[in-house]
Amino acid sequence: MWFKRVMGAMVALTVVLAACTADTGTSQEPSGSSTPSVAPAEQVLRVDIGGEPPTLDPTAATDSASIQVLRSLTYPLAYFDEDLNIVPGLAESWDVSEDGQTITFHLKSDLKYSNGDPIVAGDFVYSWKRLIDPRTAAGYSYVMADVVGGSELLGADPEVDDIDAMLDAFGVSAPDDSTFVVSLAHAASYFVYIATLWVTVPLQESWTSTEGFTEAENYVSSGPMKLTTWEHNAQIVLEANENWSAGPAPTLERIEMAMIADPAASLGAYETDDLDIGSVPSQDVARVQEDPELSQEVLQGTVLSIYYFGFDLKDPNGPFAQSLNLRKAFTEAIDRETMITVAFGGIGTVAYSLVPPGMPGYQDTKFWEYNLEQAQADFAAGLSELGITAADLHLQIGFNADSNHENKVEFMQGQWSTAFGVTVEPVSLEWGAYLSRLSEDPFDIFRLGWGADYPHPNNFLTDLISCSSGNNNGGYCNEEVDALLAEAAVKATLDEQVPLYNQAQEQVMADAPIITIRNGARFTLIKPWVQNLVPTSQDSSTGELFYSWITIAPHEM
Amino acid sequence: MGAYLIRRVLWIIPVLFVVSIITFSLMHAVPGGPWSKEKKLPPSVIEHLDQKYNLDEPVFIQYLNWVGPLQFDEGALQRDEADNLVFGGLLAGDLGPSYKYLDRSVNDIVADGIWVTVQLGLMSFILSVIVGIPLGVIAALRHNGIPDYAATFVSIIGIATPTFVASILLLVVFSIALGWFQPNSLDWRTDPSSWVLPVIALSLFPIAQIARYTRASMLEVTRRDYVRTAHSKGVKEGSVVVVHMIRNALIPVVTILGPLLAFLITGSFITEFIFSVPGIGRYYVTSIGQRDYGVIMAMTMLYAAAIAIMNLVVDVLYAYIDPRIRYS
Amino acid sequence: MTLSEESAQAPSVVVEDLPDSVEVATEEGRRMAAQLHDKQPHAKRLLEVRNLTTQFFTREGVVHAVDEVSFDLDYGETLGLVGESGCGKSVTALSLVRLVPSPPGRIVSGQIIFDGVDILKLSNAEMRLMRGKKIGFIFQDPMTSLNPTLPIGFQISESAKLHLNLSRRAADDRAVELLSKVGIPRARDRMKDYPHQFSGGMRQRVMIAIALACDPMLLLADEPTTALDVTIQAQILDLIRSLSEEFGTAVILITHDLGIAAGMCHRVNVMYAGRIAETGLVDDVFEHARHPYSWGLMDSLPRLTDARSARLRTIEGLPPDLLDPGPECRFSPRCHYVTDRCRTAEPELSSREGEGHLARCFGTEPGGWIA
Repeated sequence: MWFKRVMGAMVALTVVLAACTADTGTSQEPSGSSTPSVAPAEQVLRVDIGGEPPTLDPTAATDSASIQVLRSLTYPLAYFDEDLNIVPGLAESWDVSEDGQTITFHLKSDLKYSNGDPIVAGDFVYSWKRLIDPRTAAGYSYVMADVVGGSELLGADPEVDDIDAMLDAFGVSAPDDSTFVVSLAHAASYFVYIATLWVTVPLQESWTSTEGFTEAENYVSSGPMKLTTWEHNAQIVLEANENWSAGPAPTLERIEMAMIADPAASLGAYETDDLDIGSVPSQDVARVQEDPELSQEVLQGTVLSIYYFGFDLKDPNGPFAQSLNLRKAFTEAIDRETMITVAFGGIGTVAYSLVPPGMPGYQDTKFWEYNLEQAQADFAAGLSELGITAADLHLQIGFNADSNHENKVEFMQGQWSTAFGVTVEPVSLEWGAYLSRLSEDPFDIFRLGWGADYPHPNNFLTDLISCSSGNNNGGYCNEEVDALLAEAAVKATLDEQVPLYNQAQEQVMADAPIITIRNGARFTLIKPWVQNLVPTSQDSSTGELFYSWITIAPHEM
Repeated sequence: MGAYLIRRVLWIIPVLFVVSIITFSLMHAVPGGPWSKEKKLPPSVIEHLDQKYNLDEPVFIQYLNWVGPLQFDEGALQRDEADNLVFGGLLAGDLGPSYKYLDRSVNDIVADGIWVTVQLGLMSFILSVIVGIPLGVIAALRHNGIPDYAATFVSIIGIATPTFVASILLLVVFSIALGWFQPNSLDWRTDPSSWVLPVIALSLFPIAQIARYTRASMLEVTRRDYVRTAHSKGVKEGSVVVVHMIRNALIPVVTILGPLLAFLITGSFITEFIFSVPGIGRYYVTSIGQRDYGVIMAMTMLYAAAIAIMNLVVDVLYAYIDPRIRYS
Repeated sequence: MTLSEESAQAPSVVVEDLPDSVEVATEEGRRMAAQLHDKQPHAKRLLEVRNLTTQFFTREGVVHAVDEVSFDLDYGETLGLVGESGCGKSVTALSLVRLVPSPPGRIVSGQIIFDGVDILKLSNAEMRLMRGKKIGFIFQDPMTSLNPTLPIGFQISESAKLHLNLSRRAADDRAVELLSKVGIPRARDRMKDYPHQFSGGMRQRVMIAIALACDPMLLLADEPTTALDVTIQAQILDLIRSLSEEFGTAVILITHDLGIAAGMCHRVNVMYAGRIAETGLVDDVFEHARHPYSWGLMDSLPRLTDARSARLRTIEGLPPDLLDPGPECRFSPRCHYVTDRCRTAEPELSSREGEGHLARCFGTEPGGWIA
C-alpha cells in the first residue's frame, strides 16, 4: 500500500521534476562554440539490479536480480545469438543420438575458470548432480526431470532414500575431460535449451564446498566477467575475466551493479548520469515520452512474457468449469486494445495467444477478438446451459494487492458490467497469501503473469497449462493437448515441433481456460554512449545476456 | 539504582520471549511460505526445501530449534548428515539461515547492515534533538510571535508529511533536479554526504514532534513559580531559559524521546528503501512479504530489544533530569 | 537586638559622617538604617510609591488590579499590606520589581522611587540588577517557588555569584552561611540537596536565604506563611523579623492575616479592590480603625472570648468586579453604613487621628455619620 503511495507522490512530483530537469538539461548542454574535452571512455557499464541478489550460487538462483549478475559470471554449454538461436557456449558442439535420448557435448579446448583452473566435463557432472540433489533443494532442480533418474530424485526423500546411490544412477557422465554425456529418460528436443540455463553451468566442487564461496574473495567464475566486489545491499562490481576463452573477449573492463530498491530513485540515478541503463516505472512512462531528451534514449521491444487472467476450473461446480460459453463470453467482452492504452499506459501489445511473438511457435492469429454482441450471445447461452440467471452469478476476481493491478481489474470489471450487467467482486491479497490461495482454492477469475525461462514454446504450453503443471493454477486439463505436447517434445527439430505446438495452442485457446491480456514490452532508457547493447526478448533486464560485449563511446560526464 | 537497572534488564528477557513466541506463531499462521513464487516450484522441490530448512517439523519444534538446542560450539549454517541445515539457535547467538538470501546467514545479514541502520537512526535522532528542542524553545519564548508561527508551521508540515513523501521530495529536488547529492551513494562508509538526505528525511517528523512538545512544555514552564523566583533573583533572561526552564521543560519531552528513538531506528525502512541505504531497516518489511522467517524473527527480536532498551535508557535519563525521580 | 558580626564590624564612622544631604548612597543608607532602626524608625524614605496603577488587559476587558496606589516605606521599616485575596496586594508587590506577568499585565502609570531611583524608568538590564541585589522576594508557596531540578545550594548562590561577583567557592560559602542563618542544620551537607528533599517550612527558609543572599535593602514577602503549618508559621515569621532587624532590611509583608501584620509591622496598608482603604501605624489602624472594611477584617478574626458555638464572622458579599469599577465607593455594596453619597462618588484618602493615619471613607471623615 505504501508503495502505491510513493508512486502517487511520484506522479504528483512529476511536474516539479519535469520543470527542474528541464533546467538542468539546458545548463548541462555545452554551448555550441565550446569544444567539450572528450577523453577515451572508460569501458565501464553501470546498471541497477534493483536490490541485493538473493544468491550468486548458480545452482540456487531463481530470481531476476541474481540471474542478471550470473549471466555475466557464468557460461553454460550452449548459449544464444542475438536472435536467440542456440549457438555453442562452453561446448563446441553436441550430438543427439538417433533415439533422441542421449546428448553428447564436446567442450571447447583450454577453457579456464577465473581462478585459472581448467573447466572439465566432470564439473558439469558435479554441477548437474548438485542441482538435482534433493539435499541441495535447488528451486530449479525440476529442469533435470527429463534426465535419467531425474524424476526419481525429484520425488526422493533424503531421510528415507539412498540419495547417493540415486545420484550415481543419474544420467550424466564425463567419459573424458572434454566430453559430457547426458542420458534422457525420453526424447526431449528442447533439452538443449536447458543447457543454456545458469543452473547448468560448470561448478568446481572444491569451490562450492568453500565456506562463503559466493563472496567476492572466493568467487570462481566460468563466464566472461569475474566478481571483484560484493558489498551487500550496496553494490556488485564485475571485472573482465582474463582467463575466459569460450568466446570473444569481453569489451567492458567493468560492470558496476547498483542496488536501488526504489524504482523512482533508480530512474533518478539514470537521469543524473549515475546509471547507463535505466528502467522506467509505469508512472513515469508518459513523462519520459514527452521529455525531449529522455524520449531519445528510450529503447522499446518485446519481452517473452504474458499477463493473463485465469478461470477457476478446479471446482467442477463453478460456473466457468461448467460452461465454455461463459468463459468465451468473459473473454470476448474485454476490449484489450483499449485496455493496453488505458490500464498499461500504452506499453505492450495485446496477447491474442499464449505463445508470445518472438518465440518459435508464435501464431499471428487473433484468438478471441473483442466482440460485444458475440459475448452477450455466449453469455446468454452459458446461462441457459447452467439454467441460471445473471443474478445467480456471484463471481470474484482475485489479484495481488501490492503491484498496481487495481486499474486493470477495474477496467475488466467495467467491461463485464457493461456487457452483462454482472458485478464481479474484486478481492486482493498480499502476494504470499495470494499465491497460497491460488494453489488451494483459486478465485473464479485470477490474475497472474508468466515469463520465459527459455525461448521455446514448451515453456509456455507444457510448463504453464498442461494437466500436471504445478503452475496451472486454474486446473485446466485437456488430454488431447497433453498428447500433442508430448509428441512435440520428442521431435528432433523445431521445424517438426512447431506444427504440433501450434495445434496444441489452438486447442487450448479454443477451450479458453485463460484470458490472455498483454505481452510484456521493454521500455528502457539507454544512454547514447552505450553501444553494442543487444536486447533480446528473453532478457528480464535489457541486454543482460550480452553485457560483456557492450562498448562505451567517449562522452562528456 | 543498580539493583533497579539489573531488574529492568532482566525483565527484558521474558518480554522478548513472549514477543518471539507471538511472532513465530503469527508468522507461520500466515498463508504462503518462503518458497511461494509466481512461477511455482514443483511440490517435490518445495518438500526438499522444507526438509533442508527444517520447515517440515511441527511449528513448536521449529520454534525450539530456533531458540536453540544449546549447541554453543555450532557455527552458523552447519549441516547434519542428511545435509540439512543445523544452527545453534538464538541462545547460541545464531539467528539461523535466511530463506531469501540463500548464501547468507541471518547473522551475516544483520552484522552487515545493523550499524548502518543504527548510525542512520542515531544521526537522525541527534539532528532531531538539536533542531527540535531549540525550535520549540524559540517558539515558546516568542509565543504568538513570528518565530512561534514559523516554528509551528514547520512542525505541522513535519508531522503531516509522511516520511516517504519527504524522502521522495528530497530525492527529486536535491539529488535529481539540483544534483547536489548522488541518488544512490555507494560510499556510505567514506562519503559523509551520502547521509545528508536520508538523515534529513528521517528527521523531519521527529523534529516536528520534539519541537511541538518542547514548545508546549516551555510555555507551561514559563508560568511556573520557580521561573518567577529566578526572575526575582535578577537572573539574566538567557540564564533563566537555559538554567531554570529548559531542564524542567525537557522532562515531558524526554518521555517521547524513547519511543522516538525506537521509531527512528526501526522506522528507517522507507528511507533506506528510497535512498538505497545498505541497512537492515528495509528487511523489517520486505522479510515479511518474502516469508523470510529467519530474518523476520531477527528483525522482530532486534527491534523489540531496541525498544525495551530505549525505554530503559529514557527512564534512566528521566531520573538524571528530574532529581525527584529515584529508582530503587 | 544583637548585630551580626559583620554588621558590628561596620565602621561607625559612617554614622558620624552622615551628611545632611537627602541623597543617601545606598550602601551607607542601608547601614545607617540598620543602626537607626530601633531608635528612629522613620528616618529616611527607602521607597516612595505614587499613583501606581497596574492593569491586566484581558479578553474580557481591562482589570484594574492596582489603582492609583501611593505609599512610602522608610529604611528598615516593616510595612504590612493586608486585605482579602484579589485586592491587589501581590500585584502591588510584583509591580515594585516589575515582575507583573506580561502580557496581560502592565504598569500603566505612577512612579516608584526606590532608594532615589525611579524604578519604572530603568532599562530591563538595570532593573535586573535591582532584583535580588537590592530587593529580595519571598513567594507564597515554597513548594512550587523553588526549582525542582536544581540543588538548593545553587539556587541560593546563584544571585550572589551574579550580583556580588563572588567566585563559585565564595558564593557557596555564602550560601552555606545563609543556610545556617535561616536555621537549616548541617548546611554544608545539604547544599547539594534538591527542594523535594526538604519539608515545606525548610523550603521557605531556603526561599528566605535566597531572598537575603545579597543583603537586599527591601524584602518583599508575599504571604510567606500561608502555605505552611501554623507552628511553622511562627518560626518563619520570627526568622524574617530577626533577620530583617539584623540586616536592617526593610520589609513589605503581604498577608491576609491581621494577627501577623499586627505582630510584625510598623505600619499597615489595608487594601481593598486595588486601592488603599486605610493606612497608618499598626496601633492606629488596629486600635482606631477608621474604615468599615478594616473593622470587618478585624471582626472576622476569631477571638478566644467567643463562645464555641459562635459562627465565624465574615464580611458579607464579595469584592467588586475590578473589570469595570463604577464611580461609587468600592466598598459600598458591602458596607453597613452606606449612604447615597457613598454610591455616587468614591472618597479620597484623608487624615485621621494618628501619625500618617489615612482612611478612605466619607463616614469617618470629620463630621461624618459614623462615630
